[in-house]
Amino acid sequence: MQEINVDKIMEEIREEIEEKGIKNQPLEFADVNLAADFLELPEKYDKDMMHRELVNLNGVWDTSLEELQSNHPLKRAVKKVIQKAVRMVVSSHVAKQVAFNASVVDSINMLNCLARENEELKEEVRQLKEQMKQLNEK
Amino acid sequence: MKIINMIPILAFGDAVGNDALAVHKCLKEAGYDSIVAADYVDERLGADIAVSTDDLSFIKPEDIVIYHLSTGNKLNARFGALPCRKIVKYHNITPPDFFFGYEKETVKACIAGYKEAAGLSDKPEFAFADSAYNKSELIRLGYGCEIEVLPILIPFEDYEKEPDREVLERMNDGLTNIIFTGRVVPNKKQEDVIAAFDIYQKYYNPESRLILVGNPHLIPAYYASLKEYVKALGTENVVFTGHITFSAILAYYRSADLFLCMSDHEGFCVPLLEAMFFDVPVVAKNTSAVGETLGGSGILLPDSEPGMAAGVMNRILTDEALRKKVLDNQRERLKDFENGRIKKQLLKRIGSLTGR
Repeated sequence: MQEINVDKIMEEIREEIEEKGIKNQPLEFADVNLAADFLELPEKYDKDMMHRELVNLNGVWDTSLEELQSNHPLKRAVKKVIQKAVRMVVSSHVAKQVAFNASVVDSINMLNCLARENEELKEEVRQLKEQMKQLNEK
Repeated sequence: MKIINMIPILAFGDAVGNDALAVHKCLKEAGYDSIVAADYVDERLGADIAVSTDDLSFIKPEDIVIYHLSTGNKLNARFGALPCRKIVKYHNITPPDFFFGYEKETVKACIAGYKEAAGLSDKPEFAFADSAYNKSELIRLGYGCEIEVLPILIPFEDYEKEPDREVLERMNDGLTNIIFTGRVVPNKKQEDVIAAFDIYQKYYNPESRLILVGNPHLIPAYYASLKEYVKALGTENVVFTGHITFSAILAYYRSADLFLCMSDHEGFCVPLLEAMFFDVPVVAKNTSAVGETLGGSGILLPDSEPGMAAGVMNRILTDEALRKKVLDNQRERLKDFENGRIKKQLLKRIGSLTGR
C-alpha cells in the first residue's frame, strides 16, 4: 500500500475551512427529525393526566379471558366448545400477561406516590426559598 | 449428507441473502448436495431458489446447516433445536438504539435478535463471521466454538454486466457525482452524507450531485426526515434512487466520481468493495467494520464533521496524484476479496468439517 499522510491532509483542510469561513450547517438533522413527532412524547409532568391514566389503568389491567355469553342454547354450546379449545392454548400466556399487567400497574401506582411526594417537596422548597428571601430583605 | 444454507428472509438485493446464495452456489459447484432454505423468499428471486422452512423434518442428524444470522426471527430458535450439525455465519445485528423513535417493531426485532443470538451460543460446532468486528461480537455473545473470519462472497463477475444506458446518459451530464449505496435506515447515517455534500456543493463545487442508492421505504419517518433536511438546507441535486434494478446500480457506480460513507454501524459493508471494483475513490467514517474492510485503502474520517468530509472529498477530486494513490491502494486491497480466494477458504473449512 502507498502511504497517504491523512493527518497532514486534514491539517491543511482545517486551515482551508478557516480561510473559506466554512461553518457547519446552522441546521442540525435533529431539528427536522420527524421521529419525535411520530412518538408525541409529553415534555412536562401533568398531575391531572397522571390521575386520569391511573384511574384507567387500575380499571383495565385484568385481561383474563371472559366467559362468552349467549342467550341461544345452541350458540352457547358452540361458544363453550370454542372457549375450551382456546383456553387450552392461551390460558398460560394470558395468566403471565395478567401477572405482568398487575405488577406494572402496582409499580406505576408507586411511582405516582413518588411523584406526589416530589410535588410536596417542591412546594416545601418554594416556601423555604420565599422565607429566605424575606429574611434577606430585612 | 446435505448442506443447507438457512436464512429467515431471502430479500432481493440484500447482502446477507446474496451471501447465502453465493455460499450455496460455491458448495454445489464443489459437488456437495447443497440447498437453500428460507422462511420468506422475495418473488423476484424466483420460487425455486429455496425450500420452505415450514417443515424442517427433512433435515437429518448427519446434515449440516449453515445458518445466516443477522436479525431476530422465530427461525433462530428452530435452528437451535435441529438435530443436525450446526454452523452459524454471523452477519451482525444492528443495535436497536438506532431505531428508537422510528419503528417499535424494528427495535423489538433487534433486541430479540441479540437475545436469540446469545441463546444460540452453545449450539454451533463452528462459526463464520464476515469480519473480525463481527467475530468479536460473537465472542461477546458467549460463543465458545472456533470462529473463522470469512468475508462475504461477492460475485464480482456480475458487475461486468451491461449498465442501464438511460441512467448512464442522464448521470454523465458534467456534474460531479457523489454516491452512497445502502438501505435508507438510521444506522447508515444518510443525514451525515447529506450534511457533508451540502458543504461540498456550497463551498467547493456547485456543479455536483448526490446520489443515494437504496430502498428508502423501510423506515418511512427517517426517509421523510431526510427529505425535509435536504429541503431545509436548500441542497440541490440530491437524488434518492429508490430500490432499483441491478443494471441501474451498475450505471450509478460507473457514473460516480466519489463514494462517501458516513455509516455508524456496518458488519462488513459490501458497497465499499463495490466502489473499489468500479475504481471510485472511497471516503468513509471510521466506525465498526468500515476501517477493517477498507484495510488501509480509501480515506478514513475520524468523525462525522461535515466540513472535514467535504474538504477531503474536494481534495481527492482535485488532486490527481492523491486520487491515483487512493485508487492504487483500493485495487490492492480488493485482491483480498477475490472470489476464488474466499471460495478456497470456505471449501477448505467445510472439507475439514466433513472429512472431504
